[in-house]
Amino acid sequence: MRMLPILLLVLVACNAAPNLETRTFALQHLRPEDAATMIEPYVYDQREGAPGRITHTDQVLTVRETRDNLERIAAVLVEYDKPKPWVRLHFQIIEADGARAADPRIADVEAELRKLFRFTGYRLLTEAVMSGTARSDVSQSVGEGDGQFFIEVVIHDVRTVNDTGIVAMQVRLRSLIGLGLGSQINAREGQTVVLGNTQVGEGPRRSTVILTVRPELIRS
Amino acid sequence: MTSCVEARDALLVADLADLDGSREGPLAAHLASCPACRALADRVLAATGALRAERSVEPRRSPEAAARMARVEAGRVRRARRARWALAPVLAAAGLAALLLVRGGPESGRPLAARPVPPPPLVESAAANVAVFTTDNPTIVVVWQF
Repeated sequence: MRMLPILLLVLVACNAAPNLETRTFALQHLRPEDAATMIEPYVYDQREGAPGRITHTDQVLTVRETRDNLERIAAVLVEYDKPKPWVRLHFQIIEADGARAADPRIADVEAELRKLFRFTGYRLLTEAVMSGTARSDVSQSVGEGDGQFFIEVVIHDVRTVNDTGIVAMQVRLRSLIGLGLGSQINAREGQTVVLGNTQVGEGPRRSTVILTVRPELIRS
Repeated sequence: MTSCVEARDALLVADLADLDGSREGPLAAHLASCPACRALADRVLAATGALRAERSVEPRRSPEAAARMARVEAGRVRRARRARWALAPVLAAAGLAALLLVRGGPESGRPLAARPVPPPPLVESAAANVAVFTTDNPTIVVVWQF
């Protein structure tokens, strides 16, 4: 019987509606609808008697919640409302069996390719640099005539995993000699991903073309 | 009228509809009348066709998918909250009783240690089979399609 008052107190406390406050957050980079989705789990819109609320207009988010939850929401927005990082992508298009003389611009890649394949030599056909942010498409036409290539990249995401920047992207290379090379890759910043295949061209024009891509994060 | 030189310059950057003849235009008209450029266009279409299957593959978690997951998670959290509120008086009483009977041990309230996040795979999808070769140079990895 001694416990009864305490239990009643607990029951009353459980049903008491919390005090809500309203705070407006100015967004610098996030889209309001994305920010609203992001903070939704912190807003108790089904709370009886005192439901939380989110409204948003042009780059402004207004939230009605308890002070504790507003603080959590503020912390989330501080962490994620940042400019999208820029990525610079360095491409090299290399022809296998293209030359016997070493080219210092592809020396690192060539050294590793020679350990893996039996091509007699490697020749740098062309280079390209492209920049973009997450959720952007970039493309570039390089070379001339029959040696013309078209590089297309969809940068899906740029994120940090264990303090290392990782670029999730779809890379495609097309050429007039019938080359179709493409992959969806997650490349670390500074890592050179070498993409190649063996089905290029026909007859005397048959050759193996290799595409390398190295992402570089541009930190402001 | 588009010349062969102009057509070849445009082949790689052209919309596929211009190459396969489903859209009319100067390039499509030239391809219809020039067998040599038509053959080149067919090669580009064939190469692009091989990439198309891979083009449709979404990344492991696109921003849209992440947003969908967040919404699903929010719904799950709401349902869990409702269930918790329904049980709140009982749970509160039980919790209070437990507190009165047992004092918190030295481990109580300690946050869980952060677990390292495994890095994503290098290749999410490709137009063909791939072999991934790590090399002696830790900054170089080779992805060979076959």
